[in-house]
Amino acid sequence: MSFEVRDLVKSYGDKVVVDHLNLRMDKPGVYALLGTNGAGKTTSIRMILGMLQRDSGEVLYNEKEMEPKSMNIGYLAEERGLYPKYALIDQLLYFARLKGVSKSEAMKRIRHWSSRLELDEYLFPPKNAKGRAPKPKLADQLSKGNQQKIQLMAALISDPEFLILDEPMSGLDPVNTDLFKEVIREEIAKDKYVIMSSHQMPTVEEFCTDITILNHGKTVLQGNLDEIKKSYGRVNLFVKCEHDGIMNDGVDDMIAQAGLSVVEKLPSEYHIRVSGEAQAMEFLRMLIDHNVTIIRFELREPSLHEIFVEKVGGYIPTEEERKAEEAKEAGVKNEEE
Amino acid sequence: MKKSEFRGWTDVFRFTLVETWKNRSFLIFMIIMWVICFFSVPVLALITDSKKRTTEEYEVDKTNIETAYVVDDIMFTDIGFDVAVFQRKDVFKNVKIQKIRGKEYEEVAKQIDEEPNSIIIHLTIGMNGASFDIVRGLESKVGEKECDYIGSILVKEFDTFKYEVTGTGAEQLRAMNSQYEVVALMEQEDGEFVSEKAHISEAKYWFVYALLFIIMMIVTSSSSQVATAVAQDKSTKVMEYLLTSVRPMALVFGKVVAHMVSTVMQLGISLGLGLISNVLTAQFMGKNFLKTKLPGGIFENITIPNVVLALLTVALGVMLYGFIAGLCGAMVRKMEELQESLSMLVMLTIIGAYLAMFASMSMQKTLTSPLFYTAVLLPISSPFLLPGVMLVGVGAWWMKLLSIAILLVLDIVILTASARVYELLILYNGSTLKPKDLFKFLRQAKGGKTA
Repeated sequence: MSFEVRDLVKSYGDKVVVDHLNLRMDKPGVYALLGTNGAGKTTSIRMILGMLQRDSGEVLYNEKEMEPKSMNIGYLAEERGLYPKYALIDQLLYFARLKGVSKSEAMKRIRHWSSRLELDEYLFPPKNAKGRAPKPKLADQLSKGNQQKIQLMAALISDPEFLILDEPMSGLDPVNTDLFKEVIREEIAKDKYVIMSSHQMPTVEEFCTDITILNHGKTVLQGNLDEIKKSYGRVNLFVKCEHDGIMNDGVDDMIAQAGLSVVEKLPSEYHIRVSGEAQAMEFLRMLIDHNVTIIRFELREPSLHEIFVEKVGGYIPTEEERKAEEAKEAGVKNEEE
Repeated sequence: MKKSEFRGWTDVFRFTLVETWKNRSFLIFMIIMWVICFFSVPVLALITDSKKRTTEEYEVDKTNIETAYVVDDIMFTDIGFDVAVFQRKDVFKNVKIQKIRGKEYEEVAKQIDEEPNSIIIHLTIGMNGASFDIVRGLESKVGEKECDYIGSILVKEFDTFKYEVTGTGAEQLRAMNSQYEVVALMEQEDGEFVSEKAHISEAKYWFVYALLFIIMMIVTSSSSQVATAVAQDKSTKVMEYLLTSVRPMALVFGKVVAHMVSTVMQLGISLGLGLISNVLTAQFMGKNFLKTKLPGGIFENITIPNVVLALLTVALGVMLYGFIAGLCGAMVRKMEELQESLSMLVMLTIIGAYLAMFASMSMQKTLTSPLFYTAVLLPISSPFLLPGVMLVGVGAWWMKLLSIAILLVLDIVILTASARVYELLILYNGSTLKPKDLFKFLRQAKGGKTA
C-alpha cells in the first residue's frame, strides 16, 4: 500500500498555485502539508480529492491512478459547511448515503460517534416531560465547536481508509481539542493514511512523521520530521538563571564573552544560538565558574515552528545579526550623504 | 460526458426532494394552494349558480302568475311556434296569455310594475342570438323558480319544434347551425392531411395559453429553486464536502430533477384536488362545474402519444432552464449575489415565454406563420408552446419531432459544456462573476484550459 503525488501542477491564468508537488507515503501514517495562507495546500488537497482538475501530474494510490469518488475517503474541509436549516440527522444520513453506507449502518455509526463526540443531546435529545420527541436540531442551533464535531462525524461516518484533515483543530476549545486528538489517534491506530494540514505546529509535531512545507506553491522543505530536525543540529540553547538584576547583567557579559548570539531575550530566559554541543558546554562551564544559579539549561533541535518560520517567513536573525544589519544600513546611508 | 459523472445523482435527488417538502415555508405555501384548489370549485359553482339563470327544469307545484304578456320581436309565432306551450304543464294552465302586437316593449314593462301577478315573455334577438326573456315587475309576486321553469319548458319545446319543422335530429341541427369555413388540405409524406390555412378555435387558444402559463410556472419555480439550492451549497460550504463523493454534474442533475418533480407534484396534487373537488361538487351540489365551463371538444386530442410527447417536452424544457439556473447558482459566492446572477435566466425565460405567447395568439389566425414555426422550433420557447400545440392536435408531426430533437440536442450540449464549467465555478470564490463571464468559462472549458 502506498500513496504518492507526482509533479502536481495547477495554475490560474499566469499564476502557478501548485508547482510540481511531490510527496509519498509508503505506509499508513500522518503526512503534514504545511504552508502559509495561500501557499497552495487546499488547492493540492482539492486536486488529490479530484475536485479540481490538475494541469499536470499524477495522484497514485497503490501505484495506480487514484479515483477519489470510488474510494472511501474522509474529508474535513478547512471551510466547514453544514446546511443551516436542515435537521442534523438528515444531513449525516445524506452524507453517509453519498459514501455508499446503508441507512441502518449509518444510524449505528451516528449513534457511536454521537456518543464518542458527546453530541447525544443534539442528535438524540431525550423526550420531553409529555413523552414527546423534541424537534430535530438544526445546524444553526449549534455552537461552532459542536458544528465542527458534526463535520468530523461526517468525515468519519464511512469509516474511511484515507483521511484528509484540513485544519482539524482550529477554533476548538482545549477540552474539544483533546477530544479531537484522541479521535485522530484512534484513527491513526487503525493504520489509515492521513494527510493533515494545520497551522498549529505543536499539533503537527504530535501526529506527523513526514512533512512538506509549501511556499507560494513551491515545495521549500520535505522529508521525515525527525531527520529534518537532526539535520539542523542541536543549536538552540535555552538558559534560565535565578533572577537577579546584577547576575543577569553578568550573564549578558558572559554570552558576549563566549561569542554567542541571542535569538530572543525574555525577562528570565535566554534563547541563544550555538554552533554545537561543545560551544554550549563551554558556556555552561563559564556559568558554573561564575556561580550562576541555573534553573534551565536545554540544548535542543529547532522546533517545527522555527523551521516553518525560517522556511516560509525567512531566516530569523539573531539580535547581533540584526544590529550588524542595522549598522551596515546606517553606514551605507552615511556614505551616501 | 461519462456515466460516472452522474454517479450519486439519485441520492442527491432523494435528499433534495425530501428536504424541499420538509421545508416549513414550502409546506405552508402548498397547503394554502391546496385549500384554494379544493374549495374554489364549490365556491365558484355557488357564485356562478346564483348569478346565472339555469335552463334546468325547476319544477314548481304552484304559481302566482295570472297573466303572461307575450312580446314577440322575432315573429316566432308567425312560423308556428306557440309560446303558450308552457301551459301544457298543469301548474300554468290557468295563466291568461295576452299577445301584444303593435305596442312597444317598454310600455308593457311599465304596465307590469302595477301588476304583481303578471310577467312578460319577450322573444328577442340579442348579441348572442335569440332569447326568451322572462320579465317580472319591481313589486312582482312571481318567484324566480317559476320563471326558470317556464324558460326551461320553452327551450325544450322550441327544440322539439325545430326538429319537427326541419325534420332533423339534435346533432344535425347543431351542425346546420354551426359556422362553416372552407379549408384546403395538403397530403403529407406520412399520409396525414394538413391544412395550410388551418387555425385553432378561441377555446383551444385559451387551452394552449393556460398550459403555457402552467409550464412557465413550473419552469420558473423549479429553475429558481435549483439556482437557490446550488448557491446554498456554495455559500454554506457544504459543496466542499459533497464533492468528495459526487461530481458537480451529478449534484446539479439531481437537484434539477428533484425540483422538477417537486414542482410537478405540487401542481399535480393541486389539479388532482381540483378534480376531486369537482366530482364532490357534482355529487353534492348537482353541478359539474368543469363540464359546464370547459368548451366541448377540447380534450379530443389528448391521446397517450400526445401526452407522452408533451410531458417529454416539458421535462426537457425544465432541464434546459434548470441547467442554466445551476450555472447561475454556481456563479455566486453568497446568497445575496444570487438575484443579480439570475438576470440572464430571467431574461431567457421572459423572451421564451413571450415568444410562445405571441405565437399562440397567432395560432388563432394561421398555423403557418414564421412566428409559429420559430416559437415551436426555438428551444427557449418550445417547452412553453409545444405541449399545448400537441394536446390540441395541430401542427405537423415532423415539426413536433424536430422541435423535441433540437431541445434534446441542446440539453445534451449544455449538459456537456457545463460539466466542466461546474467544476470550475462550483469552487470559485473570486470576485463576483457576471453573465458574460460565464461565456468566458465556457470557452475555457471547451479549450481544456483552467480559469
